[in-house]
Amino acid sequence: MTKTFTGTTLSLIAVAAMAGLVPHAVRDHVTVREATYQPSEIDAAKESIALSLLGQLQMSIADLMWLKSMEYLHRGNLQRMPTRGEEDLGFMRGDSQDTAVGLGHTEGLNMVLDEDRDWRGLLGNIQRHIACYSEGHIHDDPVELIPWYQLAVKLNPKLERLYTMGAFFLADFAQEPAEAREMLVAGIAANPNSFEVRAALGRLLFEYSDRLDALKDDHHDEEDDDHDEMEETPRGDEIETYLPTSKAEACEMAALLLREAVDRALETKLAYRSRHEKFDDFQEQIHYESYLFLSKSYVELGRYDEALAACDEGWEFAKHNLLRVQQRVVSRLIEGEVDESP
Amino acid sequence: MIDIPDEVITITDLMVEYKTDSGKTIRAVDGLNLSVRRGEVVGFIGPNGAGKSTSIKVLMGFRKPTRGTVQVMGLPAGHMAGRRRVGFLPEVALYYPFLNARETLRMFAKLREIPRGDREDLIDDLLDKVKLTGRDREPVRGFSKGMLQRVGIAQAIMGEPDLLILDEVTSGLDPVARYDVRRILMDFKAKGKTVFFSSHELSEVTMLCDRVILIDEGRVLVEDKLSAMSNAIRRHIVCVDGLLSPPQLPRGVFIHAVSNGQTTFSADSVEAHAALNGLLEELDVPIQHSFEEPGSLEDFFVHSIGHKVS
Amino acid sequence: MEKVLGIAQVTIIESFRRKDPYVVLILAALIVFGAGLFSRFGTEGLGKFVKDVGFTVTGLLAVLICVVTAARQLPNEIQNRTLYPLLAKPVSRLQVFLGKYLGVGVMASAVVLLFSAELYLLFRILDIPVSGVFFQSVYLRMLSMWIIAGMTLSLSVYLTQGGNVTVSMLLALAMQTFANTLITVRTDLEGWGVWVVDTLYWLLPHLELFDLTKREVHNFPAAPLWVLAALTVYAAVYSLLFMAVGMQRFRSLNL
Repeated sequence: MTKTFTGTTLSLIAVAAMAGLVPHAVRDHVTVREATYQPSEIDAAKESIALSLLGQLQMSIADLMWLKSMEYLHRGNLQRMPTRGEEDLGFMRGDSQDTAVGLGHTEGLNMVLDEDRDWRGLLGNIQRHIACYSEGHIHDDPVELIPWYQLAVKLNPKLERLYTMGAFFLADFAQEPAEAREMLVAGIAANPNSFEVRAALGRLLFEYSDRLDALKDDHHDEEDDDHDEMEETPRGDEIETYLPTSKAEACEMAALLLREAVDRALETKLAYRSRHEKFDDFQEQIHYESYLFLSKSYVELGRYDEALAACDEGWEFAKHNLLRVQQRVVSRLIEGEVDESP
Repeated sequence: MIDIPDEVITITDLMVEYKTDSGKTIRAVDGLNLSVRRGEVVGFIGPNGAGKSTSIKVLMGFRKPTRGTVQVMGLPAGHMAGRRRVGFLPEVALYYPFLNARETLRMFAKLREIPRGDREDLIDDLLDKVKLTGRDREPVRGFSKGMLQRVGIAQAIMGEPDLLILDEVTSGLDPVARYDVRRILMDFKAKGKTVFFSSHELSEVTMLCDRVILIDEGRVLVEDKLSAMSNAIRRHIVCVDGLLSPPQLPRGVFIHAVSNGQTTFSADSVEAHAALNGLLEELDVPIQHSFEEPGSLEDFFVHSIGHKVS
Repeated sequence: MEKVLGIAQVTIIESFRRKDPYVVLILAALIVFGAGLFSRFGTEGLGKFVKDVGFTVTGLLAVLICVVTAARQLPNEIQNRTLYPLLAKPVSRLQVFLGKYLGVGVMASAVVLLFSAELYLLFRILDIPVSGVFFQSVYLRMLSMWIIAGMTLSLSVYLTQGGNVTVSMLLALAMQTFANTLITVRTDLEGWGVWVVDTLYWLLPHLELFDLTKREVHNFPAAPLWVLAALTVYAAVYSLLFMAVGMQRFRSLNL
């Protein structure tokens, strides 16, 4: 039994190592050309059992990496949603309390019982010293997770949240906004219908509209130069890859992306509703933030009426107090009470 | 150290029942009574499923009886003090495949409470006795059945026990190994020790035993000296000239041998002998010579329980 | 005591000569090294992952070796008929049981030590820092092996060998999940339901408490000494409980 087990495992390791190392080693010597397959050949490949199984394995590894990344992000401090009984006792979901700016979000209760809801006495106390337990909701340095996300999206380009999370950590923690933009552009290419990735790119463009140089990737200088020569802000398919050259252009592009994102988000939300499903916390957050940044983009462009309309629409479909605040700010701007958006 | 009683084994009204996986209760031993006296070599025989191994397991304290009492060395079966004086050989054990014979015996020496300083010499002596010298560093997993049984015998006779209990001692052994085992047991017998053993090899029993206990269906069928058993079955041998093969032999008459132009018949009772004589007279075949001889243990075994086995 | 040690010694020698520990040692090294190879794909800074994989794989394999070794002890002795000559000697069943337990416990602890040394070496090679929690985790993992050995050995006189391996592996590896489920379910229960869950919770051996490796992975500080002392007592109590339950059955077992 040991021999079979060892043999199988070693073979798997060898195959995995070959699969990973061979392309890495030979890529400099390989010329890539467009393949010309007959439709029947493509159909045959799609129905190949071996390819399906390998594909499944690849997806499973990517999913595992996603789960592991969440564990690593929270320093192994596992959480769960409170049960009905716990909510009755007043134990509610809490916000993250660590100092990592931008990582604030609502999560559940610690999987390891906190002292105030523990009934196990000494045993519970021991567990809090053995497990990765911390009071409240903490995060580890997310920069460590960036290579993790980059690897995971290579394995499964359809895991759209990996792009948004990865880009967020790249821009805000690793100070690599150009790489973040690159990741989001790749994310949109792989997930053209995703509102999450589109919203993230829109927000990134808005946030860096004052520092557009930071978004420039050294490898794409020539491409960027071509864009510089364009007179009008691109529309349609070009939006994602185009690097704006002025603040106004950046805000205009951000508005376009965010507009598309909120429309797609609403569409998705309604489709969910028809299936008696709901957005998760992250999707809800992206939905209202998209309206918020859409409104802010319009404000930057001086299009206050559209900014106000975005707030109203946001309040209707993705209720959040920040949208009310933005609504008041835009109203004052219209009334000429304040000079700048918040 | 306990004194050795006259009766080293006493089994009284032993009944052993067990449940099969399907929940059915099987009575393996049913009212068994027997005793073995000091210095005796007793063969414990019976057909498969007669209850020999179960009885021996109870004797060694491996199983609890459903009813009855079992005493070994005057103590209840399985008593620690009793076990100090008993050597036991189970039906071919595989021992520890990854240990060698010396290591195996070393462990048994510890369990046997042999003083540390005496162990290696004793093991050398035992290995010599069972003819495993030179093979003692090889892993036991490469041993043949016969060699495993030699290891078993070595551990059984370790520490000079006063009573040896052996289950199917020569089972599966080749003639040379069987001869060696017999020699070891004869030595043991010569020292006045008691041996109680079960076997399917009736020739071994004949060669070694003073007394035989034949059991069937969990009860003692016959318990007697070997000579008495043999005499109980007397065979009548009748020789005639020519190769004779009558179409129908009388009941209890067998063709014993056909050789040198003669046919030898064997009749296992007076009635059968008379019937054979009648048949030969009818066929007009003169009897060359006729004599009577004691039966073998095998004859006795077949005569006693053969009809059930068949 | 010499008899117990003699039986234990045979168990240890047998286990190591079967070469299972060495095979899994090589296997674990390959897997951990394979995880370390991720850096070859251009992803740096995955030390946390390599540690995680290393601890998970070695933990799993150590439990596997411990369970399989403990589960086969008594059934193999009966099947190979070696228990008979053993018990025919002046040896009590308690001594046989203790010898087996001691043998499996020492063997499994040695395997944990070997795995830990191997991990430490691999981490050094891969330039992954290791803190004092690592050494605490080795100690606790060794302690857990004694509970698992006791549990599996005891279950081996109640269950078939295959059933025992399955049940023991589940209890040893999924205790964290069982415990979390019980704790979560309890919050919505009342009356006797709470009593049932509490009883179950207190009866189960909480092997998840002996896993400090996640603290090492996520750079948590070392556990206080009183926790290690309490867990040592906990391990002793549970080992004794399992041994008592197993011995109770083994003593009256008709062979």
